[in-house]
Amino acid sequence: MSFTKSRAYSVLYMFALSALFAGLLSLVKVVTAEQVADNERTAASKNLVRVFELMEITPQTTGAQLADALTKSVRPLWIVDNGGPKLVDAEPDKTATVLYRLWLALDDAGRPRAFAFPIGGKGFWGPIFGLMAVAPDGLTIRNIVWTRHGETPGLGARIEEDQYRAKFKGKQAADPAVARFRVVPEGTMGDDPHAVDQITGATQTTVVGMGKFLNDNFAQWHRYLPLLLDYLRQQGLTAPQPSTAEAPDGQE
Amino acid sequence: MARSKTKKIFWNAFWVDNPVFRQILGICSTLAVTNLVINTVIMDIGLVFTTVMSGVTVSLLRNVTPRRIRMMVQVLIIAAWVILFDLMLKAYVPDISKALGAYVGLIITNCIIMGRAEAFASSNKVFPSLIDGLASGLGYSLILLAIAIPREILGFGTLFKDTALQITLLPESFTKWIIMVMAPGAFFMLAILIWVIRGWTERTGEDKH
Repeated sequence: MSFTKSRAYSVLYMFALSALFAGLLSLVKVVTAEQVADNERTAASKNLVRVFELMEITPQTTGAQLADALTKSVRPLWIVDNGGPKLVDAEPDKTATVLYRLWLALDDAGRPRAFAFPIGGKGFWGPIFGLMAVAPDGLTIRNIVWTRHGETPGLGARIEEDQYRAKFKGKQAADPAVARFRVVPEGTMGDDPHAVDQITGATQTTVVGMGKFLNDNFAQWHRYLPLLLDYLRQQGLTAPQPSTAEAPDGQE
Repeated sequence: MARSKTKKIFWNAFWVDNPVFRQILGICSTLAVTNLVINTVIMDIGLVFTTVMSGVTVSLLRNVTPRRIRMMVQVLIIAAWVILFDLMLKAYVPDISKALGAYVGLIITNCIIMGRAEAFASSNKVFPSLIDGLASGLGYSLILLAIAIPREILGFGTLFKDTALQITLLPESFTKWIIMVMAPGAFFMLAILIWVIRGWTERTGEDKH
């Protein structure tokens, strides 16, 4: 039997071919890494601009315009572990443990306009991540954008469509500690301030996934709201009306 | 002689054995990405690129690939070209990459590519394999575009929505057929298209099957 018909040849052949393609793909990944990182930074800026509705983003919008809008109106904040949660407005060094990210949008008069925080949870095909903006009352949703998901185009991926995202605007958490948003059959939410329509054909994404993580994420955000209100007072910014949120663990 | 053979390979893969309306392959992506023309175009480019490159690679290696592992080799080759295409999308057209989501990765499992690699490229020379891959990809693209164009026009009133190339074709007063950009719209369009094309080819005697 010739060597090319042996099992050893098959194994060696597969190994060599795998190594060849792995090498080619690694090379392409290294070459495009900087471009991908740049795209991710631009995408992050776009998401913040979109969630706070600072300007209309068109295909012609440049990275400089986005950066300008963010510098003018948005203040990034971090909650770090400092023997308990502590809010800081300067980027913490790499050794610090960041517990939570927040962004504060100010209007032209320097008053708080909205807060944004990251949301995320389990979708149908994988995790879904996004940003949620809430009004200064800490309870009313201003806007929602999805930053990453792997849902089915045409079905679960419809959560990204403007007309679906618009359904979240003005919705209110019934109870800040547990939020209690409800996802209801498409077309039935009416004027219910705590209900959001599901997407027919994407039950796993919108009911099983989003229904749960919307409430979980909102409740988590509300645990940190008192720290944000303290920060606003210290900064002399007009504090919004406090809600009934409880202080986070270990905090007054 | 060689020219007419090339023409025949192209025509068979493009129309006579069209992957979508004749072989009913690649239906999952046909239904899912055709609500926007731009997504369809990128998907088409990805599929044409992959069928051509995998066909050429499988053909190049056909004499040294052990028969017992040929399917594994074909999957490896297809996956490598799809991942390469995905990396390029992420780097140079990130918005489209995001819009297509899992469907770029799922090109790997598109039956058209594996079907052409196994049925044609594994037993033919490089140039005919290239032509076969190109024609199969273009045949798939033609049908996808024929579904996507009316879906986007009726569903959104535009072509190339949310891109620099956006063209608004219908006035604001037009009531958009939302169902066209939802899953049922894709089923209706695909079924109508298959019905019309097969009815027409049967009538004109083109249907030799």
